Amino acid sequence: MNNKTIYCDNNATTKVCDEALNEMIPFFSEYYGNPSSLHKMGLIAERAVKKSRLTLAKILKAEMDEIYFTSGGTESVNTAIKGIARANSRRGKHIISTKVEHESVLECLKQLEKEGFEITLVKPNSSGVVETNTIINEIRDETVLISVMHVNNELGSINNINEIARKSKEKNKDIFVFCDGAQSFGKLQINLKSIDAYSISAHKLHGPKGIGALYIKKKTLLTPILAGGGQERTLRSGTENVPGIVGFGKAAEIAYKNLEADTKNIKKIKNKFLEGLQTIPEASINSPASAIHSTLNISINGVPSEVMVYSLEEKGIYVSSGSACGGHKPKPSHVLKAASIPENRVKSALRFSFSRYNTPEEVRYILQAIKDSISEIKSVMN
Amino acid sequence: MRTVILLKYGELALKGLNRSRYEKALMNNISAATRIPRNKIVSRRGRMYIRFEEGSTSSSPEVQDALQNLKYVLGLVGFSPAYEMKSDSTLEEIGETCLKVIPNIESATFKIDSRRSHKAFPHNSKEINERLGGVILKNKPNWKVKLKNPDIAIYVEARSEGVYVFTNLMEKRAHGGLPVGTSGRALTLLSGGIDSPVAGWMMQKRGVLTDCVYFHSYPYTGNKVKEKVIDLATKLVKWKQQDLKLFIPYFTKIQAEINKTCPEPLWTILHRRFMMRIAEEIALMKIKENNKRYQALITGDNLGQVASQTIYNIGVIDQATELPIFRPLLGMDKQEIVSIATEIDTFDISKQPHADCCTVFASRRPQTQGRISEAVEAEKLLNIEELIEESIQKMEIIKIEYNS
Repeated sequence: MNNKTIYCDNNATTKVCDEALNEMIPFFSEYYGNPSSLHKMGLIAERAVKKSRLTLAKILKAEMDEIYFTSGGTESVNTAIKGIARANSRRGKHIISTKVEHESVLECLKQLEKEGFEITLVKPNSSGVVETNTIINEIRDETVLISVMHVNNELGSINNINEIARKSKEKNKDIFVFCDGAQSFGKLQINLKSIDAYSISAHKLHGPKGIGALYIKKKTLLTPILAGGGQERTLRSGTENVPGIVGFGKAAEIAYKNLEADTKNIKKIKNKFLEGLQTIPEASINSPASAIHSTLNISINGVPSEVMVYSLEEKGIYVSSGSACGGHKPKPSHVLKAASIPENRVKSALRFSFSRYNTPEEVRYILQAIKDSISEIKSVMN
Repeated sequence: MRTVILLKYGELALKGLNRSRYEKALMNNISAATRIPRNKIVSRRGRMYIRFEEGSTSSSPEVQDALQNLKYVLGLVGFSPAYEMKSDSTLEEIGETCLKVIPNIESATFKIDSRRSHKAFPHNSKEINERLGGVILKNKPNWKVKLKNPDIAIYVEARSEGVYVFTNLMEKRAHGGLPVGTSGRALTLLSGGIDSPVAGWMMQKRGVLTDCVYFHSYPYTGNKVKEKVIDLATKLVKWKQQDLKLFIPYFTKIQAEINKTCPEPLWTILHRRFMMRIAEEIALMKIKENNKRYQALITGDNLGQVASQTIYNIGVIDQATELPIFRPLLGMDKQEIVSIATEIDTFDISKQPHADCCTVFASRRPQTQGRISEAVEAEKLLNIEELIEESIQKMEIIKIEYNS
């Protein structure tokens, strides 16, 4: 196998940046105290957690006590959706979400459906974007929760979450709006003005795995899932993952310090790639032009996704077929289907997701590799 | 008093002059599976035992551990912990042991099933049954004697080496068959699907010592399939009681060449013919670790299941190798195969849907009534020897370690 590593699967997960890693290490070996302990070791850990909480609060323009640490995106989603739905079920049992959400959201909603909630899933437009009026049209008196992702993990489509939230509340002021921010935090400036809850995953922004956060606007009524020692103001019991929290804070700090420059560079990479793809007749673009700068979903006509993934892997390039979470059960992407992308293109879809560690020089190599793989594969398969 | 595990082996007893060879193999496999030294496993007059230290009980950790591992020893029909008492024990002492082995329940039916092969023992089996039955009835007033199909059968065997006491509730069934290693050596062709590990296991059960071959067509099949095959081999090695080799020849070019050069309906048949040729090559080559060869190939073919498994195509595929191909699943239904796969714990691994090479390179209209002549004709367009040589040269060999 090739020794080259060109990693273009950053929507699946990212490399931990050196700054975050270095910041974390002492919290494994030196400052390993429990933040709940009364002694000095506990205090050091508590301060470190506080520092990261402050970093996140500043980025989100939120209060520190609106930030809760969790084990990651999935737990944040579960806590928010189930927590809000259950705590407010006396007011109504109707939830609106979309067909293009991440599995963690869709599966949560399926569980709630079994508990007696009624779920409405709206379809996005052909760009994969959820249009505000499609949500508003579904609002009823008994609607308690609206859950819309900020940026789609497969297509990169960006939803206007604040407009959705504002107009929803104009129609029914008691509605809570939750937003899955796994693919947006660290890549976009976040404005949570009308949003009640927002989930974040650290490993999508060069932080460690196993740590995430949930923003919950004050006075949002929520039932915790985990019972225990009452950490995170009783919302999320369990000893804090201090090294993870420290790494998360640092990764977020770096991401927002360099946000403008990184965005510009990644845009350049994507544009160069898009330009090059025009010379490949088999390639078609699935992501809308308005998608987030870091994601590009394409299809290579006639080549099944998995075969292309392996063939590029052989050349040192790592990309995804559909979304990585579905990677061990190869079924056609529900997102691309919902965005009305034709079936043959869904079956040959590839997702490139870039980070600040990609370079424009890599693009030339990727394009050549795609061309080589196409001709290798086409000579073998029918 | 000490605990022993009585080991029962059915078919072995029939093996006439070869019997000691089978027994020896079985004892070696038991020793490897339980990590109990060979000299603690004894065979006397058609009975095999594992003997534990004086004072051990059936709940001692070393006994429990051995019971766990014995179910993987093929050739055993069943096994049971039992108490071993001195051969001159009195009926009173034996009666006390009987009370120890029976469950603490209020009411039940029972019988005493005794055997006396040690003629110096002062009571015959009728007396033993009556006296011990009396002991039980005295201590368990609500228990009733029932000679046919009782809830609890208490076995008492008076042998010259000791008196053994156990019950039907302590007996555990094993899979039977013949000890691995007594029926020669064969290569199992593993695909990652449900059938092939079951086929490999079934031949292991008939005493075959098996290593495995997986044909890798990277990048058309991903490394996750390879990982899956490694996981399957890790399940098979449990029954082998020694390390297992997984041969992974390079298959991409062969499939690509066939699909480029030969008529599409024949693709699958030709892929399979090359698999047999490569497996034969591996089987007959002296592998430097042990210098031994393999005498047969094992596949999970199931008559009529897919296009390559029709009666015609099996004939065309067989012609590619001089080795016999064992196909133990040929006459089974899918449900039977699945239930064995579940039993040997391979089903959950096999059913993960990673495409294997057969699906990626599959032809759209496969020939189901292949003829040898057309396969031979099509292969004339290929440089068979060169392709096989390259495939073996680029072969990876993975050792799957046996840890009981």
